[in-house]
Amino acid sequence: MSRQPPKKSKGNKKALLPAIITVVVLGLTIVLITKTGIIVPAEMALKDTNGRLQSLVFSPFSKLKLIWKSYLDLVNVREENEVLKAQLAQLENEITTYREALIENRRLKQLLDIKESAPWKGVVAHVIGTDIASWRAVITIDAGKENGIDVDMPVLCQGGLLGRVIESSMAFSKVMLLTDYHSRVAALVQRNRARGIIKGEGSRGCKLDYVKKGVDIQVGDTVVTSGLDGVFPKGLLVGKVKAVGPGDRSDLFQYIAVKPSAKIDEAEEVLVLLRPQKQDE
Amino acid sequence: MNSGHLGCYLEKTCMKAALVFITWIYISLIVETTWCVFCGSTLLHIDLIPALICWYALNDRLLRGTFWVIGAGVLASLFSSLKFFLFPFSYVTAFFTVYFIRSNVLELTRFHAYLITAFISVEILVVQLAGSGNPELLWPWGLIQAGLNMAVAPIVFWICDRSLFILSEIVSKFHHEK
Repeated sequence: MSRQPPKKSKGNKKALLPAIITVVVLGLTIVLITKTGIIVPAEMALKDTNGRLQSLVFSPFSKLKLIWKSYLDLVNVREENEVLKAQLAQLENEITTYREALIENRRLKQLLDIKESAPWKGVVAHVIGTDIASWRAVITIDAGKENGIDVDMPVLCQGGLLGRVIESSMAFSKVMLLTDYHSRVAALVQRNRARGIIKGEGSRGCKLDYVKKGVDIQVGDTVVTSGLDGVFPKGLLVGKVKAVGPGDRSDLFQYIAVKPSAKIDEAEEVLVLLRPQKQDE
Repeated sequence: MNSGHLGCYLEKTCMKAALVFITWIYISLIVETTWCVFCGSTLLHIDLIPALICWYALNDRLLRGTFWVIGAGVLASLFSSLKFFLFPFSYVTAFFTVYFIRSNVLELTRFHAYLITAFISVEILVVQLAGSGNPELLWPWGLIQAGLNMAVAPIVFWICDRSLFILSEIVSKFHHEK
């Protein structure tokens, strides 16, 4: 059985003509619309409507997406926050350490200046404790006989004279401060060379005793060691006169309150001056 | 000496209170002499030692107590520039006082013990201030200090009681293990 080619029917030819006409008319219409711009307002209105619909539908989705993203961010932020907090704590710790080192550096520089200007060689030590009897102005330092320290050696800190060594073990020493009730230092007023004895008065500071009435002493006068006691070398800064009074009628001497130049309550590092004969040994 | 033997030894000699006393004396000596470096030196300070002596005198026998209190005084002397005998002498005097009160008062309450702490604080300060040549400090500083020592006494008594309880538990545990 042979296959015969399909015959072209008259109906097909009739349908082709309207189709061509439709295409031509549509083409002409499109060209006309694009060229003349007649339909632009309608197109824009349609686009706007579409846009509104799109935004209406998209809005919940976008919010949902935002919530999801925020949640993810929060999770990350929480972790990041913890990491940052840890870093902040570490940095604060480091800053404190550096600040402490800076302050210590300043103090040591001041001590170094004193050390260079002091008449004898010195040993730097740290304050590690105070006396259990709180009315005694005595501190413990972390240097002793093995550092060349012995009893009656002068001790300085930033500002001036701090006191003298009263006990010494191999690695530690006790220092009696200027303000201790039992402390005595031979001193003189720098301006007029008036001599006296510096006595400790506890929390009130010190007083310059045995200066006769009538000797001209003024508030602000500088008091230095006189070297007559054989313990402290001459010329170490003790403090400044903060008050002068006539004392009682029966007193032969003036009352002269002295504020120590050394920061006694804040001393953390001290300089112990080694007596020359000890160095020779 | 293994742990069992230690427990047995402690049980036999009843040294628990003495151990608690001397341990806390040492800790308070270390703390009191170092914290002033940071807090600045002031006459008034928190002193736990009178309360510790009071507590110990209420918890141990006369002979052993005297021995340990002298030991505490010697220990305290190492932290001070005062004359060596002043601390043992003042502490033993305080110990005897509390022991005497304890032996003669029938119902000694905790509040009485705190009052006794203030009283023996004055006693200790009188001996030490007079011995170191500063008796003028007793008024008003010494009396205010005694009041402060009385105020911290409840805390000290609580700490010592807890320590004694814990030590007793440990000792009895070792004893049972043996």
